[in-house]
Amino acid sequence: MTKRSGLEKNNDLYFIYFLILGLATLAFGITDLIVTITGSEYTTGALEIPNDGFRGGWGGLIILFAGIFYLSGLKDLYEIHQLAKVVMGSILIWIIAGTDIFAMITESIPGGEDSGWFNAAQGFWGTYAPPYAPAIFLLPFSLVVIFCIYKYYKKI
Amino acid sequence: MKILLMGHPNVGKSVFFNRLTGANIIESNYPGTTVDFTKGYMRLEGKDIEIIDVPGTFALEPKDKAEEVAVRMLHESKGSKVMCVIDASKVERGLYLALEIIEQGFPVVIALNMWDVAIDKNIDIDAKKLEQILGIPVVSTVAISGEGISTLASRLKDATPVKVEDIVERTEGIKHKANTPDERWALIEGISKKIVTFGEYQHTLKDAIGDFTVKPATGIPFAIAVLYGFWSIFGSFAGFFTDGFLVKIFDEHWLPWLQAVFPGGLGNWFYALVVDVGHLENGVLAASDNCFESFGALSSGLFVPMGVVLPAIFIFYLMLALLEDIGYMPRLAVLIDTVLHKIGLHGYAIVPSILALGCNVPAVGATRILETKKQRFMMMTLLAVFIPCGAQIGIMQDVIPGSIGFVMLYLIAGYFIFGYILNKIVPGKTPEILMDVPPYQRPMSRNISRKVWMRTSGFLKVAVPLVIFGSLLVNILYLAGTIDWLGNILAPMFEGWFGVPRETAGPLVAAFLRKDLAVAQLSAIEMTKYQMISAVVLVSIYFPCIATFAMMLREGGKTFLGSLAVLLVVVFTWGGLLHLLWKLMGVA
Repeated sequence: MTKRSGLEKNNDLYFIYFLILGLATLAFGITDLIVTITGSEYTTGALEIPNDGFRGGWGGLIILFAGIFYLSGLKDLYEIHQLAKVVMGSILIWIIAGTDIFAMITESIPGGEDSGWFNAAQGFWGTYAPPYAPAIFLLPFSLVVIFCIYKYYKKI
Repeated sequence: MKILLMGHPNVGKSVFFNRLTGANIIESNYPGTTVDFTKGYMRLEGKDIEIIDVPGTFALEPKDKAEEVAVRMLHESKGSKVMCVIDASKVERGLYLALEIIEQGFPVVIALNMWDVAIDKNIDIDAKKLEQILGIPVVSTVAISGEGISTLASRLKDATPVKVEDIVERTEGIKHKANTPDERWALIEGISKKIVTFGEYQHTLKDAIGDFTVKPATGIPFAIAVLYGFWSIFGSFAGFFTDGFLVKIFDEHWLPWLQAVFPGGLGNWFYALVVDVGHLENGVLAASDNCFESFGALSSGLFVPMGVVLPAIFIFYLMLALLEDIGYMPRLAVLIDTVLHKIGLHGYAIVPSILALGCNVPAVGATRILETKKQRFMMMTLLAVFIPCGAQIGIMQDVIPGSIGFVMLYLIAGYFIFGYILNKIVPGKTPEILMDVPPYQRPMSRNISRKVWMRTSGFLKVAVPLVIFGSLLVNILYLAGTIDWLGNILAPMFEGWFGVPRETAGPLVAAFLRKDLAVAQLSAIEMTKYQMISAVVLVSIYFPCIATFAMMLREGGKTFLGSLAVLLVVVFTWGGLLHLLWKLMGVA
C-alpha cells in the first residue's frame, strides 16, 4: 500500500493557517498598491507601507501574487501541486523580504558622505529599527512552509 | 589523437570539457552556451590529447549556425575519436546522434551523463548491455560532480569503429538496416527496449514548481518576482560598494593625490589629459572635486570601470550565473516564447537579450542559437540598439537613479515596437522550435565562481584600456576644439530634434568606445532632468560600442549594413519621439 503524505494528518489545521496567512498577505499586497497609486504615506507603529513605484508598486504586486498563491494552494495541501503553489507563495515573500533585509544590511555598514568609512554603532543598529515593510512581518509566518515540506516527505 | 566532444545541446559537454582539460569555459544550463568550438588538451597516459568542445547538435542535418559548425567540425576531423555525451534520462534521443556518428565510421565512446537525474526519475539503464549491443565503450557519468569522468577518459583507448549492421544484428528482433531516419528510430526503439526500464515515478516538489514556473498564470508572477529580486540586489550591492566606499576612495584620496603629485597643474594640456580638465568658476579655471567631472585618463578613466562598473558587473554576473545554474533561464525562455513570437523571434532570444544586459559582445555571439538569418539579423540589431550593457546600467544607476526605470521601459518599448516592424519588413522565416526544459538543480559553487570570474575578468580586460583610451581621446578632441566644432555643426540636430545640449557631442564620441564612459561624461554637462534622460537614451540607441561593432561585423557579415541602417532610423525616430513627448508634457 502506498504510504500517505504526513500532511494529510492535520490537513484542516494547515488549511486554516494558510487561509489566514493568504488573506493577510493579500490584504498587505492590496494596501501596498493602493498606497503607491494614491501616493500617500502609511506608517502605523512598526509597520510602514512603501509607496515608491519599485518597492510599493512592483513589490506590492508580488505580495498580492503571494497571497493568491497561498489561497489557491491551501486546499488538499498534501497533494504535491497544491503544496508547490503554497511554496511558491512563500518564495515570493522570501524574495521581497530578502531584498529588503539585504538593502538594510548594505545601508547599515558604510559611514555615509560626511562621516568615516563605517557607520557608527548607533547608526548601524538604527537601520534595523522599525518600522518595517509588510514582507518582513510576513517572513516568519511564511517559513512554516518548510515544516510542511518536511511533513510531506515524512510519510505516515 | 584528437577527441571531439559531441552531443545534443544542454547535455553538459562544456562541463566535460572543463573537467577533462582543466580549462575554463562557460557552462550553462540552457542550450547555446557553446556556439563556436573550443579547443583544449588533456594529459592521458603521458600523452597530450587534443579535445574539442563542439557546439550541441541534435542530428547531423544542421538547422542553425551552431549546428552547422558542429557538423563541419565532424566532417573536417576524419581520424578523430568522438566522445558522445547523452542525457541518460532521455537516452533514446541521444542514441540517434550517436548512431549517425557511428555510421560515419568514427570510433565513439558514449557518456551517459546526468546519471543522477535518471536515477531520480526512476529510470534504470543497463549500461553494460548497451555497450554490448553497440560494441563501443559506454560509461555512466555525472559530469557536474566529476563522477565517471576518469573512467570515461581511460576507456577512450577501447573506442574502435563499428558497423551499424553489427549493431542491428546484436539488437535481436530488428530485421532491417538503419539507413533512413525511420529505420534508425526503429533500431533505437529495439535497443531501448533491451536496456531501459522505467520505474514508477512520482512528481516531486521540484517538478511541480518547475511546471508552475513555465505556465503563464503562475510563471509570470514568479518571473516578475525573480526580476524584482535581481534588480533590487543589483542596486543594493552596487550602491554599497560604489556610494559606500569607492566614491570616497576615488574622490577623497585618489583624485587629490593625483592632483597633488602630478606635474603641470591646471591648464597644462598633459595634466588635463591624464588628471583633471578642470571647470570654469566665475571665469576662473578650478580643480574638479570628483572623478566623474575630472575627465582625466587616470581619474575618470579608472573610476568609471573600477569604481562604478565593476561592482555592478560583478553582481549582475553572479545573479545571472545563479539563475542559469538553478535552471530558471530555460523556463524564462518558455514563458516569454509567446511574446517574442509576436516579433518574429522565439523564447531562446531571451538568452542573448539577457546576456546583452551584461555585455553586448557575447550576446551577439549567442544569436547563433537562432535558426534563420532573419532572426539573427533582428536579434543582433535589437540588442545592439535597445539593450544597455551592465556597465552602462551601473553608471546610469549613479547618474540618473530616479529615472533609470523610465529609460529602461522606453528602451524595452522600442525593442518590441521596432522588433514588430522589422519582423514585418525583413524577408525570411521565423520557425517554431521545441524547447527542452531541464529540471531545477542545486547550483554548484565551483561553476558559479568560475563563470563570474571569467566574465568579470573578461570585462575588465576589455573595458579598462578602452575607457582610459576613450578618456584620452575625448580630452584631446576637447582640447583641439573638435568637440565644440562638432557640437556647433550638429547643434540644430541636437537642440532642435533631440532636445539635448550641443555639448552632448563629446559623450557621443566617447560612446563609440565605451557607453559607460559616455554616460559618466553626460553627468558633467549642465542640463535639465528631461534632457539628461533624452541624452542617456541617445547614448543607448546610438552606435554600438566598438567591441560590439566588431563582433556584429564578424557575425553578421553583409547584414551588418542593414543593422546600421536600422540604427540610424531608430536614433532619429526614437530619440526625436522622446523630445516630442517632453514637449507635449511641457517640460522641454
